[in-house]
This record gives sequence, structure tokens and C-alpha cells, in this order.
Amino acid sequence: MGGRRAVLSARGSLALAAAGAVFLVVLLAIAQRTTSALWFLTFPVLLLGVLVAAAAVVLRMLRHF
Amino acid sequence: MEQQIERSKIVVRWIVAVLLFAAVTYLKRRGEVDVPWTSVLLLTALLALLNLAYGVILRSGAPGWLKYATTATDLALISALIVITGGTRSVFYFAYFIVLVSNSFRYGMGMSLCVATLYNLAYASVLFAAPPGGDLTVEAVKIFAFWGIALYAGYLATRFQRQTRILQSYEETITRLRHEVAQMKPPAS
Repeated sequence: MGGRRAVLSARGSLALAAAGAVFLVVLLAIAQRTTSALWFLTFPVLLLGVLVAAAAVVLRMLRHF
Repeated sequence: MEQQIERSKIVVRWIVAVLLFAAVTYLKRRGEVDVPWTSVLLLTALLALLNLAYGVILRSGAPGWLKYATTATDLALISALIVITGGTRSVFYFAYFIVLVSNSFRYGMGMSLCVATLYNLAYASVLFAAPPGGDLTVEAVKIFAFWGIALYAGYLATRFQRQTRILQSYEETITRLRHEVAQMKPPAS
């Protein structure tokens, strides 16, 4: 009888947290520095990336998976 | 259900169109916005045409793509209105929120995220078409604020939908129990 397989490993959640942090830094850098509105087209991907990473890390901390 | 929602959106779209047309006319007569009549009339005609087309489509049901198409065209028309009425200084920026609230509360979190993404792309296009010049930090903050409101509206809509489902199951249980009680025979005295 095998135990339930973890959906997200400790290493995976760490990588996800790091990716989320990088996305957040890029997002804030674009917001502060850019003079071209075309960079704002990357916001949906970056914002959703930050949100998904934050949600996964919080759920991991709460031992949801 | 979706057909009913899209029909009510058509009514709201007519009301908003009339109000926006009246606002543009008023501001133009006062000299607050410098926009040619041809642009105003063209936008209004386009909106009326699209609204009539949606009405025709909805006669035979609501296809799955329709809610996304109506949302995208609404945001595109608002963006065009913003571009011709002063770009980032346009007083019609608030109209984006009508689309957000109207769709989020009707369809939930998924649609909230869809509206926020489409708004993000549309507003970036507005900034590209009518650049305010210099630093764009204020515009980035506007986009972040919109995302924040979209997520909050989506969360509230999700909660509301869950409560509606619970209430519906209670009503079904009450109806079933009433039916069972009505079928029970009275005890013999």
C-alpha cells in the first residue's frame, strides 16, 4: 500500500518560489523603468506567474500537498 | 443561463452607450474634449451594429465563444474611445470598470482574469497609440490596480456563486422533504 505521491516536492516548491520572486522583480523593474508601453504586454504572464507561484508556495506551507 | 446573461448585457450595453454618447456630446460642446463628430458617430454606429449582431446570434442560443467576444469588443471600443478623447488623460477610463464588474459578477473568477488580461493588452495598446511621454510608472500602477480589483471581484463572485449553490441545495432538500411529508399517511386514531 503505497503512500500518496506528492504533487509538488520540496525542491519543486522552492524552484517555484524562486521563479515567482524573479517574476516579481522583473514586474517591478518594468513598472519603474520602462519608457515603452510595449513592455506592459508582458504583465499578464508575469502577474499570473507571481500569483501561481505564491499560491503554490502558500499551499505547500499549509501542507495542502 | 448564458443566453440570459448575454441578453441582459445587451440591455446594459445600450444604456451605457447612450450615457457615454451623451457625456461625449456634453464635453465636446463645452470644449473639454477635442474629438471629431465622425469618430464619435463611427464608434457609436459600430457599437450599435455589434449589439444588434449579438442580439441576432442569441436568438438561436449562446455559443461558448460569445461571452469572450462581447467582452473583447467592449474593451476594444472603450480603448478606442479613450484614445480619441485624450489617451491617459481621458475621463472615460472608468468605463473599463463597468466591463470588469459586469462580467466578473456574472461569470466568476475565470472571467475576471480574462477581463484583466484583455484590459492589460488593450490599455498597453492605448499607451502605445497615444503615448503620455516620459515615465510610465503611473500607468503601470493603474494596470496593477485594475488587476487587484479584478482579483477581488473574482473572489467575491466565487464566494457568491458558492453560497448560491448551497442555498439551491437547501431549497431542493426542503422541497423533497415537503413532498415526503405530504405522502405520509396520518396515524390512525
